Amino acid sequence: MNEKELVNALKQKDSEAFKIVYEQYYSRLKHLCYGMVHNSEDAEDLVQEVFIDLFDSISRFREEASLSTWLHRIAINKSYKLLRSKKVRDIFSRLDYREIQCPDKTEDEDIKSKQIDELHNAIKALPERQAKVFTLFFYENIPQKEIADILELSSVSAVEQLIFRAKQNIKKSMKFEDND
Amino acid sequence: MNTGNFDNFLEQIVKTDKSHVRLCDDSFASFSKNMERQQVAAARQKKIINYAVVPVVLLTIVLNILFLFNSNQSQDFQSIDTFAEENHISTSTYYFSEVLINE
Repeated sequence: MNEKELVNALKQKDSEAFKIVYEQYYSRLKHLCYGMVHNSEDAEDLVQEVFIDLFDSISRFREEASLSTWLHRIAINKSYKLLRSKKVRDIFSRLDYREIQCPDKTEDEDIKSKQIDELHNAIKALPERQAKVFTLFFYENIPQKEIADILELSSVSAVEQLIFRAKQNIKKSMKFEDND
Repeated sequence: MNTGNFDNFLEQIVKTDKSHVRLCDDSFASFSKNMERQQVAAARQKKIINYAVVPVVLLTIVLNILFLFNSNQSQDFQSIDTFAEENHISTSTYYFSEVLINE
């Protein structure tokens, strides 16, 4: 089934088509949402919401962009909506779920866990566009051309620049020093 | 912190971080159940709204009728008061003369 046929089947509310799309995009969207919100449970909820949106509003999908681009846009918007609402109650969410799950960590795991926390904080501190581009590129390995489509950026070089600036900012936030 | 090349470092950290993402095996099944539950809840809410709309509409109609009736009555009293005042007679004289005329 090609994408056009798949979209048509989705518009007919074909449950088999819906399952195909779900299985094709579930893990990709979950990694993307996780890269944005840094919490597995929230990411799972967000992915479910994305598919509910797909089911409810597929009739409004005008096929100007690909289905993948459309789904990624929904996921990004939903993640940012959650992040904005979370900012208000951020003070209560300082406890990291990884700490709760595995209290007996080895020294190496502990270092890695701290580095991940630093990375999360560095991503949170990035300007919105840089954070989006960084997550799409590093957490989901999406090609730069597709990132430009998803975020409606003018060109691939704009994506390159945003990735470069994001990396510089993260490097500074994490106080990273190159060996060479 | 000194961990060598930043790009490699970043890739490693992201890889480790991504390994924390738990992918549910039966995600689609639980999603379908959620959808079903949500649709049932939406239908129930619609029903409740429909039940609530009818009494609200009826109450609005009754209140409107009462308001109109009340405003007409007060208009009548207002016009009697104005007439009595303009002709320098008391309201009771007006009523008395009305009764006399009718008789």
